[in-house]
Amino acid sequence: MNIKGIEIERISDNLWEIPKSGGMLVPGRIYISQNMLETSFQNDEALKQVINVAYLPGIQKYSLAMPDIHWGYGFPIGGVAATDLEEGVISPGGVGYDINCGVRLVRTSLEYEPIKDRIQKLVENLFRNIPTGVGSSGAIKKLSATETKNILKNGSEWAIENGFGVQEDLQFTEENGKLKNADPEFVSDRAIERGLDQTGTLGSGNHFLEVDVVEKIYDEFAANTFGLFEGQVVLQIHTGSRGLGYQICDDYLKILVKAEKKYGFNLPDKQLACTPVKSKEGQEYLSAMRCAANFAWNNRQIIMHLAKKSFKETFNISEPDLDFQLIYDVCHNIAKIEEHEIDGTKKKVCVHRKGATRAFPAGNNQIPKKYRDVGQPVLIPGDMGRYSYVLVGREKAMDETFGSSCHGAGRLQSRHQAMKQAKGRNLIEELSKSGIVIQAKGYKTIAEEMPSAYKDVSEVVEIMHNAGISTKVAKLKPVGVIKG
Amino acid sequence: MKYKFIEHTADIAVEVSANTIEDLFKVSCSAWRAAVLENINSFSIEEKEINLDAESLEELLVCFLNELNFYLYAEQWIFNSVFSLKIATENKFVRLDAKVVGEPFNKSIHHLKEEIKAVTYHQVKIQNNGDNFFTRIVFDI
Repeated sequence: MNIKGIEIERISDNLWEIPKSGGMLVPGRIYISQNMLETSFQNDEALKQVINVAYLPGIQKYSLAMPDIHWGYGFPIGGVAATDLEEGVISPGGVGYDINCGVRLVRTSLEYEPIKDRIQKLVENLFRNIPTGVGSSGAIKKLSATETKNILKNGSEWAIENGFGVQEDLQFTEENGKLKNADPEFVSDRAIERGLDQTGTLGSGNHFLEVDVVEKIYDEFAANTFGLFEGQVVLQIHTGSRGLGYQICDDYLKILVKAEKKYGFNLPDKQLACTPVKSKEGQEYLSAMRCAANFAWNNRQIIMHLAKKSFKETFNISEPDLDFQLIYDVCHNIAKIEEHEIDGTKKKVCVHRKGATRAFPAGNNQIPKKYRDVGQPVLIPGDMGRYSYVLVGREKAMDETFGSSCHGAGRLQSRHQAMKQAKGRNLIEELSKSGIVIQAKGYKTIAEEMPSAYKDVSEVVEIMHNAGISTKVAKLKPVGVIKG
Repeated sequence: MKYKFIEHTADIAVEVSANTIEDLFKVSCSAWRAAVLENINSFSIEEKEINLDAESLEELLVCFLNELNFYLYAEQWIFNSVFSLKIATENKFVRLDAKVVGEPFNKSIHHLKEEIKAVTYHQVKIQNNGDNFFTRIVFDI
């Protein structure tokens, strides 16, 4: 098949390959259906970006993309690439501006039917308690630079130490909510300044807090292990490292664009700026990136605590009765040093996941003991009108995608197109007729983020399920949404 | 000099054009401001000086706009207009010296439309066809 001049070959129903050519060091592989391949790339250069990523020095096996692939900066969104630690590079474009943008899923003991008349009140309380929107500042007092640096080093541990959660939350967070070797000395004063007032804030754009009901269980054993049951009320939190992370990415792109010349790389896209992992610049970026990741985990931990407070206020319920427990927290914009088997040998590589989620299988010692018989929860948020999914990581992910899966639906329409479509409609009423209560900082956000602006996440999830990378555990239906 | 927002699936993209390179930089600032802020008439008098070096005009432009972005989100200071702007070449570098005018952000009068994470390098390529400078810029939101 030829898509906009790019030859692409079918490997299976759910997997396509761009053969190695020109300066590509490895082939490109995209998990996608034929239908999505034929319809997704009219105005989207993401396939070209898969090719460009294949130029990265030290890249191993394939330049990968998940089915939610779309146009990004340097890497496509949905891109995964692992590079050799000794000979390979690290690229901030393979992480993104919103370092450790991610999702956490929280379960409760509540069943939807008996409490559905109070979802409106719950949404109001959540919206009041959690700072949301453009320029929002924290629910906690503006921190000093010293305290912020503490968060950068310690991640979610800071939140726990300051009363925003319990120790147990850490084991149900990827990396226990803290990447080690995060040194704030490599974070610029500008980045710290941008983050000072943003601890515990949701942000805007596609960030959200969502109350869901578990609509369907596909895998009883996994669902039981994760603490999910049909009809249950759960909560998703989607946000990242806010201004601090964005500034770190911008700071290091400037440095690495210069470093690229120093190391003699010649890459087809400036946003693929990179440096050897082992170089001074590479190690400093990794350290700063870890700081941003820790800031984001701390952020989601605090927001979860504020959400618990909102639940208790709404339902006048004790903590033991509410049983508000973290199921898992995953990041989907990150670079991590991991060990993977390549050509029969275990090797340490730098895995870039840019709009992709770690999906480790049963038996892996990086996932909580409680889940080791099942596998890691993989949280896939959809749009605010339809559904989200909980998947579980499978062994095939380790074989084929460096233990990675998709991360969400991906946009279908531009913000401008969505705003045009929203004209003359009452989206709040439309969502209400579907049983969804929404509160947002502005109607514009609701219009820009309307359900039809996004692809159908179930198509994305089906491909990962059918490819055996991560399989379906549960489907969640939104009933209450908070947007910035 | 003019700017035009164009379709972009995930973020905000704009095409800017002007007769001189300095005007291209000025109109890019206006485009950035239009992307983040509902338009209001403003009579601000606070001045900030921005001095930057870069290895290319594209890098200089992205850095300049990211300065405005930083002032807004980190220092709660909103840019309104360019008072003066000079671009010069020194050895292998390009240098910008600018004075911009603005005011402290006031949420009762300034309504922010979007949070721009950063101004990206994506598709920034300043072209000159003799009497017109042109580039595309993408703002990551």
